[in-house]
Amino acid sequence: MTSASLPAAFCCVLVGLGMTFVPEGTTNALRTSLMDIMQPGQQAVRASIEMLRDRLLSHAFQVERTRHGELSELQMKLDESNARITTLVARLTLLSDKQLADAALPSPVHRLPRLVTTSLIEANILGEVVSTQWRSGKLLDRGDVSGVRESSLVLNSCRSLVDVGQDGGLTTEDRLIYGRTVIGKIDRVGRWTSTCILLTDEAYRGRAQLIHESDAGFVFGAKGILRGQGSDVCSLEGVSTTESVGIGDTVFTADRGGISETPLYYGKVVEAGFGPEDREWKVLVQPAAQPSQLKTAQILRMNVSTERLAAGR
Amino acid sequence: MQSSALAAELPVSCLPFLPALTLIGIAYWSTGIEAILWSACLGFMLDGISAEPFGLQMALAAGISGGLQCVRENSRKYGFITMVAQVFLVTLVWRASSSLVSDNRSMPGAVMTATIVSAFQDAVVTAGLAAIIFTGDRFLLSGLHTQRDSRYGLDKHRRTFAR
Repeated sequence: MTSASLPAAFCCVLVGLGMTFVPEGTTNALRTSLMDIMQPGQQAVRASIEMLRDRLLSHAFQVERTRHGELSELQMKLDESNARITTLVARLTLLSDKQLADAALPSPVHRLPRLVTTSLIEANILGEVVSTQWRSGKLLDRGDVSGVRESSLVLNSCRSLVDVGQDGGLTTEDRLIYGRTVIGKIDRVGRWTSTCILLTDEAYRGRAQLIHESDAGFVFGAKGILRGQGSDVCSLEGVSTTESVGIGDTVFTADRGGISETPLYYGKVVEAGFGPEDREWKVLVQPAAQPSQLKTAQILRMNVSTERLAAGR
Repeated sequence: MQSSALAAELPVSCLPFLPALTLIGIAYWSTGIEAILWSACLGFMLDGISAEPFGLQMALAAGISGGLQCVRENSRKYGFITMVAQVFLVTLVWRASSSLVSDNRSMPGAVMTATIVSAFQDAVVTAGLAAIIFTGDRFLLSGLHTQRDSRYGLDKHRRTFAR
């Protein structure tokens, strides 16, 4: 400290202490004057601080707003992603549940060939002359001695003969058809020939079903039993009067259980009326074909799958 | 004045005593009578806005400034810690003295401990603020730092050591 500083400091201290004893009125005036002198500076400082504060806050607010905007956008994208993920998870859950459900079921068994199948074999309907000669054994060279002879059931029958027997794999009740029309069925099977019951024979019986033709197409109707009457027409029995029957309705075979998918044609209804006691219809059916005019026919034979039989052994 | 400048900005319960920093700044940039007179002006202005007896701040400012001049004359070096310590002591003495005088004048026999504690708090806060400013000066305002060294101690000490 220089030699002049100490006295200067001492003087200033004395002046200051001396001013403490100045009357309050004077000091108030001095204070007011000093405040007036410092007021612009104070206002300048206050304004600068406020301006700086506003700038900082506005910058921070802008940053905050931008950040908030970015956050909002990110939030929206996140919400969309979450929604998509939720949907996918739901779908996946459904698929998983379905897979689980499917997994609970046994896997499909390998489809085996049908046990009973049908096949057609061409047969000739033997005329009366040939049938008589065949039955008399005149057509066979070897005769009874060598054991070559037809089955006696066939020989003793007077029914129509077809030239297919056991050698053709026929069985009793095999249908005799012509195209899609039923003309009869096999009655007895011999070794080389078989007798057949024609549709018009009194012994013929077959399950039949009416089919009505309507605007909507063909409609399956009532079922019954088609019975031969020994005449040109057959009768359809067992149709209740509650069922509808109309003249012109077609009659098809009714038994389609696992053997033949498509019905076979019998004929059409030519007469329909109420029977005795009005409990059943009395229906007459005209067959489509007259067997006496046919020379060849097909036989719908049933075959047992040898493959299945072999697999079963 | 200090409340308008820093009141709402600092997260402290008590405010820094900015006149102490100003006094240190005056002592940093001027010496001798120049420093004394500037300090007295500072004190006089503080008298205009303070509630203490008029002239007290001027006397305290001039006396503390004189003491600072003595300290600086006799100190070999003053670095960051020395500067902060000076701020602390200046604030403590100034606030304690003004409070004690005004309290005892208005309320004779006022409790001294509370006054000292309040002054101590002001000193701590002011020293903290000073530390922040000096740190900025050291690392950001290196030109001023160099100017200070050449002006207050470095050259003198070199001359002393040279002897």
